Amino acid sequence: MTPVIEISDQPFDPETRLADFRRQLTHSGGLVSFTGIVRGEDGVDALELSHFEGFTQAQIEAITRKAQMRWPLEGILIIHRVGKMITNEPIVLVAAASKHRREAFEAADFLMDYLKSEAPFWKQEYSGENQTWIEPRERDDHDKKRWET
Amino acid sequence: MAQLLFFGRFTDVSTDTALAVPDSITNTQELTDWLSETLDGFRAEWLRPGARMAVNKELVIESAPVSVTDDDEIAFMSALSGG
Repeated sequence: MTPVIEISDQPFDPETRLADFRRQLTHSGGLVSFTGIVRGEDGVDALELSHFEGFTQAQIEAITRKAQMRWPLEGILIIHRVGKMITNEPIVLVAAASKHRREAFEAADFLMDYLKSEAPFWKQEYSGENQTWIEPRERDDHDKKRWET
Repeated sequence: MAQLLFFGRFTDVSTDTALAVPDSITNTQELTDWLSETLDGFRAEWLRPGARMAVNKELVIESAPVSVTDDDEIAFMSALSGG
C-alpha cells in the first residue's frame, strides 16, 4: 500500500482516520499509531505551524521510503496539520502497520523521530500579543540519531 | 525573474515573493550577498545554524555556488522546528 501522507490546514479526527486506515489493511497483525497534540503550556494561547507546499510533502515521502527500506510495512499513514491550533488539538497522526508488532512499533517510532527533526515545518507560539519561533530541540536530534547505529 | 520564498524566521525579514532580483545575479552566492545588502536582518538569519536554501525544491548542499536563472524558485528556510 502506498503511504498516505496528508498535510492540511483543516482539523482532523485521529480516531476516525486511524479506523479508516485499519479497514484497508489485509495482512497486518500489528498497527501502531502516535497522535501528537498541542500541549497546554502556561501563557501559550496557540501554536501555528507553517510548511513549504510541495517540498514538505516530498521530504516526508523520503522519510517514509527510509522506513519502508528498514521494515516490511503494509501501510504508513501520516496526517499533519498546519495553521493555527489551540491546546489539545491534534497536530500529527502517524501509523505504521506490519505483519508483526515489533516492526510496527519501531517504524512508528522512527517515523516520528524523523518527522520531528527532518520534516520542513516551522512553529510559532502565541502568547497574548507575542509570537515566538520554536527552535529545534537537541532532544529531537538525539532521538533521531538512535536510528543511525 | 527568479521567485524568492521565505520560511520560518526568514518571514520576519521578508515575505515579498516579487522581490526584483537584479539580472547581474547568476548564482546562489551572489544572491545571498545581494540579499544581505538589500534586506535588513537577512544576513543574521542566513548565518544562524540550520538555515538552508532550496533551488526549485532541491536543497543546496554543495559548498560551491549553484547557478540560478529567471525561471528558478529559490526558498530560504530557517532551522526546522520539526513536526
